[in-house]
Amino acid sequence: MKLNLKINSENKVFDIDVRDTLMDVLRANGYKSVKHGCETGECGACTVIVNGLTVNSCIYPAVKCEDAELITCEGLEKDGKLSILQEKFIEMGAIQCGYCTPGMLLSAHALLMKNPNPKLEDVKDALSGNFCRCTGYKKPVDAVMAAAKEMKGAK
Amino acid sequence: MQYIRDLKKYYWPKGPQDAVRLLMQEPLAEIIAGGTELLVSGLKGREVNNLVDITRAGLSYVKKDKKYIKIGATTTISELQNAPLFKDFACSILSKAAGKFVSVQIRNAATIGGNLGAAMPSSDIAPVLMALDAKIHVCGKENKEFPINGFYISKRKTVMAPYEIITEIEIPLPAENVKTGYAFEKIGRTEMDIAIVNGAASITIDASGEVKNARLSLGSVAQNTIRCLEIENNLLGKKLTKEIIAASCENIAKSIDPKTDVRASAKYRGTVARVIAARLIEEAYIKAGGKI
Repeated sequence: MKLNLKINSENKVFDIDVRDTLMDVLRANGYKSVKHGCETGECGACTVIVNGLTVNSCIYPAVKCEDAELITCEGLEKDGKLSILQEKFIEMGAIQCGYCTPGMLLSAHALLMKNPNPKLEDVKDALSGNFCRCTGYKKPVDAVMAAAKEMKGAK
Repeated sequence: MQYIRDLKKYYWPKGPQDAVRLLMQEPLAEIIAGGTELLVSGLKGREVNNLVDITRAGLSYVKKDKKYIKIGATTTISELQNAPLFKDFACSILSKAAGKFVSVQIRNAATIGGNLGAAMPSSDIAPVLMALDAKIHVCGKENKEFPINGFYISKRKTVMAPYEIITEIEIPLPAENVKTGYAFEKIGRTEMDIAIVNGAASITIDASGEVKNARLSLGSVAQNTIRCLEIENNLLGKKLTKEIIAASCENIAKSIDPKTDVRASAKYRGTVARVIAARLIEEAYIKAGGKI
């Protein structure tokens, strides 16, 4: 069956099986930032944004995305330039092995789209569905707070 | 990974009756909304050939009339958390419970109807709806409604018959000029883990501070979410003090049947249940305007 959707502002048509998860479809079509983790919606490595909201793509039937607008980590950079959020993750050492990073970035991006002035608690809550097993959480949380501040200054 | 190996067809019914018809007519058919329960642990090895997705069946809404708040079954947990209506309703216990519901990603997909229908004893939503005395509307061969107290039979089991689906949750609005307070509490290993013990309370008092009505519910301490009727009765007609509350909860072991699992022992759950019950009653009483 065919699946029509928009990913990172580009219209796409994918040939899918009714049994495919959204994660399967995205990875098979080159969106390798979407990481295959726990397969049970716990670790958040497969997080993508669907119509403005983060979901765990490993437990999300691809068929649910007909006509949806998606953002993956590939869509955060513009014209080869990383987003402020991505820059802050690098600058503040919020990345170690990197496996959880795309999911973390998308959870943070979804938060900042809705709430440009997050409190510390908001950031912690937004990242609560993204497990990191090496850096920990302080640096990612700090990076999101710093990005929010800089984005506000840039406006 | 294929989320259901033997799946053949995926349906998008336009309304609840259409969904029920598909469930009855298609072989090995299963209902799906957010899928966060069904695709993770809800199938239990069952063969499924057809999925009936009700998230486009017109059941995503929160509305209020003179007597009730009505929540469509496919309203997501995030929508409950963020609905302005629940920020100022019943001491915001429904928003609070929704905000404690695992992670943002799960809240964005999981639905209130799915959470109630999955009938897990750790639901953060069920105790709140018990404290609010909600009714569950169901569509099947005929339309039915069930009070949430009595809806659960055991773990993963409700009073619903095969081919019935939850369509709406109805919460009665408290009468005006009545002083009612509410509380919700959840104890978990981490903020996002499922509850070790959770619960909710609503207490109504008169002008003198006497308890006129009390509802106390606890989750994760029995086969499913329960109302603690004996404790509720102990409170009626009394002006509460810390001592009266403690005495009322003393025999909580009779109302609950906690189990040991990876998160906590039965003994720990029993002890925490007593503490949580007392804390919920005290908080709800104070929020109602009572003085302790």
